[in-house]
Amino acid sequence: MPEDSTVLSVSTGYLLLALFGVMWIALGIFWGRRAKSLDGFMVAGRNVGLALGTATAVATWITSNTTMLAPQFALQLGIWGILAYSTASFGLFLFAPLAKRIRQAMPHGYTSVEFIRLRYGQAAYAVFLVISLFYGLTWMVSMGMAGGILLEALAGIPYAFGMSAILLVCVVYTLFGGLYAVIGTDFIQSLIILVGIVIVAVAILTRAPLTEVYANLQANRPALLNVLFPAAIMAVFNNLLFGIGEIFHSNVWWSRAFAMREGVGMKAYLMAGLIWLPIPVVAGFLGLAAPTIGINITRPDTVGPLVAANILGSAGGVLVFIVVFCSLASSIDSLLAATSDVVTKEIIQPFFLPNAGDPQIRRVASLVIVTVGLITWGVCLPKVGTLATVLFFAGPLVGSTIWPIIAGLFWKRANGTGAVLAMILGSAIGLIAYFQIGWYTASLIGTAVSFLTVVVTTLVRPGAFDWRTLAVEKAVVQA
Amino acid sequence: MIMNRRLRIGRIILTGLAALTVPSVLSHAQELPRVTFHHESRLTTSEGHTGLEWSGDRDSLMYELQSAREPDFIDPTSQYHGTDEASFLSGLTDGRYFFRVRARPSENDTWGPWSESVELVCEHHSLTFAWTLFTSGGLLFLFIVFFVGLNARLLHRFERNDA
Repeated sequence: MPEDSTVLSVSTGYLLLALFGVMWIALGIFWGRRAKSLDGFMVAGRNVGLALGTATAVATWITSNTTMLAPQFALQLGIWGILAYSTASFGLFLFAPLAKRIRQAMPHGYTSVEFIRLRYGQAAYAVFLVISLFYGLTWMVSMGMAGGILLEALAGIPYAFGMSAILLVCVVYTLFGGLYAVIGTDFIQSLIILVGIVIVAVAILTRAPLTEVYANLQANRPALLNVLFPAAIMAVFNNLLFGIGEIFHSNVWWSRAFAMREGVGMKAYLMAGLIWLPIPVVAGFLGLAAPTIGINITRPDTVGPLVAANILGSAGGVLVFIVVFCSLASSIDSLLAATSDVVTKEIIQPFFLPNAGDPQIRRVASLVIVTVGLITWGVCLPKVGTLATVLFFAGPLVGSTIWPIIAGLFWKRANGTGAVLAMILGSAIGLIAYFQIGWYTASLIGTAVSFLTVVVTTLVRPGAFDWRTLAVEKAVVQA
Repeated sequence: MIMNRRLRIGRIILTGLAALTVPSVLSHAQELPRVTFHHESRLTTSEGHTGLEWSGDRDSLMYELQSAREPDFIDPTSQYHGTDEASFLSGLTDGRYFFRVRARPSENDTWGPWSESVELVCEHHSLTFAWTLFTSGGLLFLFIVFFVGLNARLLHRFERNDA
């Protein structure tokens, strides 16, 4: 019979929060001291090497969702759930050739929205911008919420305080150091996360051997082991396509493609995918082990940290706190920087400051980071839904961008009308699936509709895009 | 005469005792905590999981959550025992499940009455539908891999020829 879970004292929680908060801010300012120019602030001087490039991709993709949502997937969908979550690594694998292509096609580029504008025109730009900002905000909200939930579950720190503190720390160091600070802190955060995951993996297998976990699930939660579990079967490719959509469209990944030295992007993303792949498997096993260990789970999105902390005791609680704090910070900072780039370069500069120089745009980007942080805080405060319900709402929207992106990068006949229709129809029909069937079908259906729309419109009305348009320097949208 | 007097005295004593004990018993009964679920009495799921939430009529209570496959709880299973006011259940197979919860103050062992029960109907999606989506997703993924892989390879070949 499950028992209650208490892990860290409130004072330990506040102490860790203060320690790591100060550390990330100090490191962010240190790493970001070179971010004086606009290129330095937004794309880290376009000179990031393989080690930093790989680490930043790994750290950014190990989000709170990997450490908290992967166990939730396992607890809700069983073995299939773990498999479904780990398929998100295919997003990194498949982005590897895209990163190379992006760097070659847009040597002076800043954002993914800029690519859509140059490639497909203003209508596609408007639709893609809405999707991109909505997804960025959704992802950040899901992580802000995760931070608050985690601190409350582990140490009893009130949700609003914990969530506010984590957001504040990330806003401060991103504000000072831009993408330099983000990539620098990502490197350290990825190392801490990987060491922490290895320790948790060893501990969980010692405390809850596979045979015991299997026997417990077979007796009490048999559907979690069932190969013929309908919702889980549907979730596998839905999650894979959601992961691909997230990476292909988001400026978080495009900004890193622009930031890496020529020839680095492809290798960095392939290595990042390989390093990331086993992490959701380990994290997911925590969800399956929860019933064996006998912990009562009140919210499924807290199962991972609670199980890890209970297995390892109070020292484990500290470890989980640090690992999840790192995974949260490494993703929130990336999103703040990437969203700020999009808002600054694709909305404010063309429409409000068309004649502004780089120093003024650099200052505006800082203001945007603060504003985005405040908006995220405001949306996180009411704590709506679980992490999965919040995040997967964006699933069909990002799924609908996959084909406009890849067709836009490689198929010169793909046209703007097709891209607009693909994103609108894919998003709309995917959202209908989200509400009528479940979140585990929305990305898949959104991507399928988008794929058919791109192919049909391209065959019916083929365009003839000139690739040199993408290479233009300092291209801004016409207001 | 003496008998009647003794009986009268006995009755007075009994009445006095009753006057002392009955309110005490009644107040004890009133002190027993009551618990209510924060749900409709009938829930459904097509994913085999659900979250149950409840609360007692006061603070510092210990709860026991039971489940059964029959509404009369003939063969109940204890799902949870502790101070949490929620529990998440998953991995359920198709069928009807019934849940009830009761509470006791943390300082004594006397349980309050069981709550009204909640019925959960678990009916998973059709497998045909699930495999259809699985196959569609697989094909879609293969198209993406093929499209990206082929074009990246072609570009690489052009670059080498240009060089």
